[in-house]
Amino acid sequence: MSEDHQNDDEREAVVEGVGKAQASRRRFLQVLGAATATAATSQADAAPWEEYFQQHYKRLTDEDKREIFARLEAEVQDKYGVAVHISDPKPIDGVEFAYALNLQACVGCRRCEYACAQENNTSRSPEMHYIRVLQMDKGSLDVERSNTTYEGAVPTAEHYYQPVQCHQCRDAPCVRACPVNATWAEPDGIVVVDYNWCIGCRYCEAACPYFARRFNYEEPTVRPSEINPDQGYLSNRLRPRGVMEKCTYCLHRTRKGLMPACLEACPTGSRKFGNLLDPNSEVRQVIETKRVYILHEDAGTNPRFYYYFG
Amino acid sequence: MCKLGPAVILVFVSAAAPLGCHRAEPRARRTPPPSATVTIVPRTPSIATYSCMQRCHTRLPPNPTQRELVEFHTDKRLAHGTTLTWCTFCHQSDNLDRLRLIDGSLVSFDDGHRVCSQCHAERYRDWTRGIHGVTTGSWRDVAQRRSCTACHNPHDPHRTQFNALPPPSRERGREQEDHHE
Repeated sequence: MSEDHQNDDEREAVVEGVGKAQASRRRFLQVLGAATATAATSQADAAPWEEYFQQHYKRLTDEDKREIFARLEAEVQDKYGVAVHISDPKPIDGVEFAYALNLQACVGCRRCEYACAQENNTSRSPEMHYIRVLQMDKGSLDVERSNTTYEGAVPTAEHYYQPVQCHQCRDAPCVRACPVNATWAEPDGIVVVDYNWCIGCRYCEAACPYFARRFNYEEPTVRPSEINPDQGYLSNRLRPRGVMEKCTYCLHRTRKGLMPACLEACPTGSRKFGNLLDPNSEVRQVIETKRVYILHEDAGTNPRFYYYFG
Repeated sequence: MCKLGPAVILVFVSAAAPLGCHRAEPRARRTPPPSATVTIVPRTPSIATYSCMQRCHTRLPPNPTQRELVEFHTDKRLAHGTTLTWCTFCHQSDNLDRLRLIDGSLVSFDDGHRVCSQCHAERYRDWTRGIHGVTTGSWRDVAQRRSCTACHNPHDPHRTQFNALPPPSRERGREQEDHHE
């Protein structure tokens, strides 16, 4: 596919997106008009009204959140017939999450990718994975020459494997790039997205040196039987079309003390997760005693994701 | 006009959405919660033929002679370094429910990692710190750590290949960036 062709595709996607936005705005105005005319708002008409005037996550009161979570849960029940529970676990005092990944142990089996998709309700068609495993040539750190579409038996004698996901940067370029503050770093270091505030401009995707952000070009599809009902408002709740999403270190799990789904799925124990502020945590032990490598250190992002050898 | 565009947007954004500046918020710097308690997952329940003594070896007199096994344990290929050439190097010949350390003391299969640690001291140190090996469960409450032989076959520890799951069909517009060919 040529560069021009791709640009055309993108332009089409943008134009289509604008068309959809206008259409939905028109529908909204119709609903608004009807509501004003009858001077009575039924339960069904209330949802788009509330959705359009929903405030930014940081401005929501506990009461607002309760109403919004109930509305979202009812929407999933209507659409998929699945009872889900949306929660909003708060950052824990004295906790800054970090990840360490053993490059010598990873065999590139992609178990983490699929466990992540399962846990985070990411779209199955088009297929979206937060983690991308790079098959790297031994003796090289050049990610430009890596292969992400390898198949068959792993690990091979000529390669090592480097999974890449969101690095939850301290100086996150995606957070700076967002024109509407729809993405920000939480006090425990996790960079989150308010899916209801995101305008889908994809500036953050372009800004990320790790290609860690994903965009819902189409309506995400997940089979009702595969929906994970334990959902976080800022993490794995079902996303609409036209918004960005990304790895959140499974905050709906980790803020309750559990390990991320990718770590639980790893058969080799390459993945280490924990509290960076706790001197006894596994990640701190890794950083203090091992040779640690930061991907794209030159980008100045200062990530909370460390690769190590051994 | 072009140069004014972003400035206008910025003014608009800062007026409409005063949600703090674009830098990360100050991080929590209070005392961390206590570290996880690590439990080691016992190995004996996952050994299909345990207990070796009750099942067979009480009835069989120990035979320390190095020989080719033709009747039992024929699937076991001993290919662990150049010095581990016979069962009794790690197994106690008159009590096969126990492993033997170099100093002659006996340990359970649940403490098999102590046998491994006699040669692989650095790996063992990393394992005790959680740097090497599989630890799952909780980063804060109770974590479960797997012993060496949960992953490594002690008789033939060479890493085997297995099939990777298929690559995902990428999001639209991303293929080109991914391939770099």
